[in-house]
Amino acid sequence: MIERPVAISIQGLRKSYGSKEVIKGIDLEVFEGEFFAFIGANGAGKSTTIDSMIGLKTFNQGEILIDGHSIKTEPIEVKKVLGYVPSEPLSYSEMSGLRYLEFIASVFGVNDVTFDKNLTYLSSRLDLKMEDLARPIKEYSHGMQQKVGLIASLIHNPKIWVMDEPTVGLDAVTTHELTLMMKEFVDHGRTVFIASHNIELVSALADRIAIIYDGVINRIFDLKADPGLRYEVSPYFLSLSQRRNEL
Amino acid sequence: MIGTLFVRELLSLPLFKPGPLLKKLPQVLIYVIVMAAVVAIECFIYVEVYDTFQAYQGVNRALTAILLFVLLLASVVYLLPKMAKSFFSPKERLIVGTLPLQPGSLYGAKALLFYFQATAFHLLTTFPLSIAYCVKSNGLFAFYIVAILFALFFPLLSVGFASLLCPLFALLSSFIKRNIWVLLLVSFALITGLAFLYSAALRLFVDLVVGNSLNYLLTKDFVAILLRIGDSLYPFTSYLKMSYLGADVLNFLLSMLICFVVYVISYPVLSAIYSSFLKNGPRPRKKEKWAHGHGMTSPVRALIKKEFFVLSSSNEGVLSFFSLVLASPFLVISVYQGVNAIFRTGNLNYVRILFPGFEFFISIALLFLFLSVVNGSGGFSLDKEGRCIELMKQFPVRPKAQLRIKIAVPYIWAGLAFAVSTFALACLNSLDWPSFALVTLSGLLFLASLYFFAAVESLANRPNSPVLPIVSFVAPFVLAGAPAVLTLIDSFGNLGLMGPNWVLLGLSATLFVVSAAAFEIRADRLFIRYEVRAQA
Repeated sequence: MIERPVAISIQGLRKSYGSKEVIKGIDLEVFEGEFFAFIGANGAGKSTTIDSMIGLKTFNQGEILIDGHSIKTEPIEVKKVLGYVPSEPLSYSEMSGLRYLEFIASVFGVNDVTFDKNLTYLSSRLDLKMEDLARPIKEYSHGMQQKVGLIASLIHNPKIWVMDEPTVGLDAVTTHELTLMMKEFVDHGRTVFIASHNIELVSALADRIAIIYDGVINRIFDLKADPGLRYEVSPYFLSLSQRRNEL
Repeated sequence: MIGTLFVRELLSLPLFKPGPLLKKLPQVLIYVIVMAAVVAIECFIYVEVYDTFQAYQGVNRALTAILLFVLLLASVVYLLPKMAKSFFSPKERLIVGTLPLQPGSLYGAKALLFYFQATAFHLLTTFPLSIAYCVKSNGLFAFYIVAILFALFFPLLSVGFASLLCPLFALLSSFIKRNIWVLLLVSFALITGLAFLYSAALRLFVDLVVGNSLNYLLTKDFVAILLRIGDSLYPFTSYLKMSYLGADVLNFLLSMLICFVVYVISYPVLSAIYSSFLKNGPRPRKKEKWAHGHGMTSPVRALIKKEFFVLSSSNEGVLSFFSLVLASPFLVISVYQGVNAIFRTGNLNYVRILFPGFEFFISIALLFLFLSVVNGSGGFSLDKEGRCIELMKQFPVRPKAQLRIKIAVPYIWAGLAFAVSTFALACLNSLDWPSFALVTLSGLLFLASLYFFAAVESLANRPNSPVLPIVSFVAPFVLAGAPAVLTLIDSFGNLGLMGPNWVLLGLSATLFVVSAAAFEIRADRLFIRYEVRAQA
């Protein structure tokens, strides 16, 4: 059996806020070229796990390797291969969309040719007009800001695309386009890691889905191995939520 | 409904924001003391100038009318940004737009608030001036009542003019804010203008304090100009004439009517524009053509450009950090020379002679305090990044390198401004050249310490930590005080101790080493630990 290269490896992750332990020991491996989804109720620890993965937050225990690099000891190498889309659009909103994207591309060391090529391609895919990019981001709608965030996350050709609720605020057409882009990204041998509440969407797209419950991975559905499992994800998740409410 | 909305508007003012009374008491006390000082200085200068012009028939009335007119302009300038921000806030539009409220009620509440603010402004400025005028010119007692009436009507004129100019101001400021170079240029021009005005007022004040003659003001041409301008300011002249017996009451009533009419005209104009804003939102801007060609730069250059952007687009608008720093040499020189002039006269001169080093202490403490104040308000601040700290954490650039850039950009500007200030002081013989070199170097080291400590404290996320206030406001006195004490000891024992400037340099260098070490050791770790979401 051929061993698949690991894109994201999380071992024994624990994270507390004060005395409250939010992540109680997560072990996870995501492979290159895989579409991996992460679902869980509010406060289950999805965003904290992602924040720990990409270096936004420190963690108390464990190790996270991204593309073979430790986020603790080689954060710069990790950041070079990551593209991240937060749940709430985030940018220097006084800048115009174009200037902001140029800034992000420059920080990631993208050259002029790649920037022009990527910007033209991505903005046309996400239906963001060049005239709009000349305006300050603060004047954009929520959806447009999210589109700028999506472009910013891909402008440097990352190997791993990490997204936290990326479809919030997007219209149906753009959501559809984004799902196509995610599929294409994976088809090119790259990795998608997405946290979402939209179970139907991720069930239709993901190779594997992990359900996080009370700070630990409760179950992983391998939909690539058994596509029929995609119909079990939603009922299982709902039963977990009910159990939580009963407790 | 207007009453409830008015209370809501009132509670949005910093002074009326809900909170424990004990916590607000110091703030209120400082406010009252500052206001009292403003009124006292204003009346002091006015009375001294009045006495100077006493010999010239009608000049004082003309001068007072001109001052009232200048204060009217000042009140309009004071109100304009507040009104533009309040009436044309897209954020507030989203909140109130969904509520079942009449635009008229919203407008009425805001208009009422601005009327009260304008009244407070005039009670603190034009009213004391009017009273001082009446006292000095032996006016009628009835004028005090007229002055109260004037203080109630005059704000209508301020609010009226401000209301008419407000939409234009909102458009202009939005244009200026979008163009960073225009913003910097306008800010610099405004602050430099203010600094010159300030230095002129300070010169007048210092001349009055040290008892210099103001005869340089009393040229024939200047007096003639004053009289001509004063006569043309009809509403103010007719108001001031009310202090004499047999004044034309009709003219005065007509002046009040003018105030009222201006307000009545302005009310529907701004109200209509405000209603339209509530209904349609901000005016869509003409779509700009997309321009290629800014081009990619290195990560370091991109971060430097971003830092310029963050600093210049601060909420203070025209009083952005860069403009404040650029204009600081003018202010430093004015205040430094002013204070020196005061300390070289009268009783304070004895103190200077009795305690050698006293002048050094005052001058250096003042210079360093200036550095603290200018840089403390706008220099290094992680708060300006807000949630964008999360973006900074995603950049493939070492945190310390990002923070060094964050410190270096404002530091270079502020350091240059400081060097220009001390150079100018040396050129004006307020500092000798060897002192210039040592004081400049000490100041630059102190400034760097300020930035390093500010960085460490912000990253450690300790808003109530005493470290920064101590460095900013106590260190200047210690740095300036220790050499001064040594000088004093030296003068008694003739011990041949090291010169005060060298001691200052030594202390500043020590502070710099401590702060730089704290930054270098802790910055990376603190930056990684700094969590924006967890704070929220």
